[in-house]
Amino acid sequence: MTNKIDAANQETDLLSIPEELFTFEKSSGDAEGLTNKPISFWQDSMRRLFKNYVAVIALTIIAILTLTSIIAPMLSNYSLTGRVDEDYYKFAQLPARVPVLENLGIFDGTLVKEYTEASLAEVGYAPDEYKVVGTFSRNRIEYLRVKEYTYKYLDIEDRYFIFGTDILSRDIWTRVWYGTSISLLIGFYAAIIDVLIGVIYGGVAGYFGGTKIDDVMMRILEVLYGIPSIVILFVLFMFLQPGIVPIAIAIALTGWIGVARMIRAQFLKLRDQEFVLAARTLGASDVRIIVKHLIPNVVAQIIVMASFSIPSAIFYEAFLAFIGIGLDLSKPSLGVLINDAISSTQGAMTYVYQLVIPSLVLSILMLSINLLGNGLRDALDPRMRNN
Amino acid sequence: MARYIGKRVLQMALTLFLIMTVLFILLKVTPGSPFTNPRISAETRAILEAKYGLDKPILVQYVIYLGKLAQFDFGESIIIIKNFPVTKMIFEPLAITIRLGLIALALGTSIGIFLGALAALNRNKFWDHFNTIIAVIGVSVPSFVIATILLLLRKEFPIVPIIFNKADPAKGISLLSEIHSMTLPILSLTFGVVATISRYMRTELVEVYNSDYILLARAKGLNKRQVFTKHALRNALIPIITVMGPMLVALITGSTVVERFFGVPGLALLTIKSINVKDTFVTLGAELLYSAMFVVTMLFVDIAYGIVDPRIRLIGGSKND
Repeated sequence: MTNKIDAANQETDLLSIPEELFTFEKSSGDAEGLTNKPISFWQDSMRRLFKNYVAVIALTIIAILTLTSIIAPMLSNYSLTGRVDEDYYKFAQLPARVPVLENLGIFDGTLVKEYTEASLAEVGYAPDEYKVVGTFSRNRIEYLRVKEYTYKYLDIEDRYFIFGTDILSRDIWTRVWYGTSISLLIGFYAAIIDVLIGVIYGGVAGYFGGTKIDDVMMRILEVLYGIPSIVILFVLFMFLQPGIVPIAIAIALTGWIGVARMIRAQFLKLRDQEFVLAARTLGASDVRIIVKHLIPNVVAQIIVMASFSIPSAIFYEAFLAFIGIGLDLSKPSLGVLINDAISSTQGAMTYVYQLVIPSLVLSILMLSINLLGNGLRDALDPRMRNN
Repeated sequence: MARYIGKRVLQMALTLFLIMTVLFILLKVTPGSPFTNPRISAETRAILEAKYGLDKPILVQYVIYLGKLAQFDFGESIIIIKNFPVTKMIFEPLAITIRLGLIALALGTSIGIFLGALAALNRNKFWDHFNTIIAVIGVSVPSFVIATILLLLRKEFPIVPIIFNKADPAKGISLLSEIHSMTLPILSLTFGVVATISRYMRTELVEVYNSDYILLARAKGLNKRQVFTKHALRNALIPIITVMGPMLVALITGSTVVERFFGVPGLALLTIKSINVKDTFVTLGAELLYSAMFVVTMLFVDIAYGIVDPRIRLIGGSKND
């Protein structure tokens, strides 16, 4: 009741304002039209993606890793396979040392080694070249945990190896970034190949869904799906020469089936919609309908699929390298480096950085691409989001 | 239902036959023979190849192999253990691999269900975020990195054995001590299972809790615990049961890394070894076994779908749509 009275009062107040206080504003054109600039599907998706801070961080990390993997080996003073110094025995297995960080106690060029009292005396450290950090006993023998200032001990305090050197005195920094670029390349190639095969196969099957063509194609797919991918990979590697592209092809050959199934399902749904009927009525050919009308409608899903296929290809490659088939040491991917580090360090804690660094880079890379993939999926296809 | 299963079994047999044929041809066409060795002279090699029938045309060899297969004979090993039947040779590694896979599956599923339920019941709280982190790490960190971390931890805290201890009643080594010696391999495999299962469990449970029958149960006056155990948990477990099949196959075929890393003499290790020495029949037998396990499990999973959840119709090829 009181509200009504208030409203009435306001109205009279408004009317009581003298007319000269008002100015006439020209109304801006069509009142029915859109006032804001329309945004396209892609602009909208990108806006959604960039609002997702996890995806933005992931994208940034991927960008940094990719750029570093391209630039770092170029700027490095050391080559991929060359020794860092003539005196290779001395320069083998040096710990990581980074100029500024060393003052903070990390990457400071120290190794923790284990000695007994007697063996420590035998090494003959100068007093400022080591520090005893702890003791422990194993099989009733007392051991000392000794922090060795390796660079000082070897008299090479003017040298810095950011990630250290490996057992053959090669620079790990150069190798890790080179490996990252190889891993990324394999991931991209594999994703491109499996999306390409998957879209063509799934597209044709889906467009002719329900006909004999589709039936035969799906039967073939089911048979192929029944073969474990490890079997396909084993067999392919007996044939292919190790190299980036053959590996990418081998991995893609096990990965395209998922893409083909997804595309077929989408096409089955889309091809009965009105816009396809309209195109057909206007006389568009099958190829034109597939390329111009159907594929643009599944691009979002294709991108999402591809973004998940990159990390799985990188993972597969690392897995293959680990079991000893795949790339050789002349083109080391991260997986090859990890495998190499495992066999050369023999699980020794002292040199574990050689193993940890490539593993960490690989894990961060996989994590970022997966998170970006999640973000892309949420942004491009909100229906696929699961809570 | 019976018609569907019959169709699937036929398809399965066709798949296996095709795989066998393709593998056989590929393995025969690849350059090199088991006797490619600088120490074996050309004459000796010819004699050896004739002895094992490797000098015959591929088609003849194929027919001979088919005949043997029909009697469940996978041929004989030539290199790894001379003249030893592959069927016997594969059996023991397979048992080890399956044991490893089953234990990891059981352990991982239990932990995964527990964590997933915890996450779903505490949405957007600590356990939920914890679950998300585990899931993301599970898909991002390769199993050999996890295996390495475990190995390093083991170095610091030597509480479990590290060398594989094969169960052998003759030597007084029990099955339990074999499993004990597989602790690290089992744990490395378990991690991935936990990541997947907990994610599924959380999604399903959240969906179930949003459904009308849970609201009805609450309206009828059941307390939260009853709703959870009697209604929510049961329904959320359905999809978990169906992912367990493919998961077991993935564990069995994917244990390659773990087997190599910890030196567990399973099927994968045998396969790699046989490929390296070109012991064709061992490779063929092992890969066929892999494929057979894969196909059979897939069939069981599809049938299980229909049994646990009658809403899913099997007849009419709904799988393709």
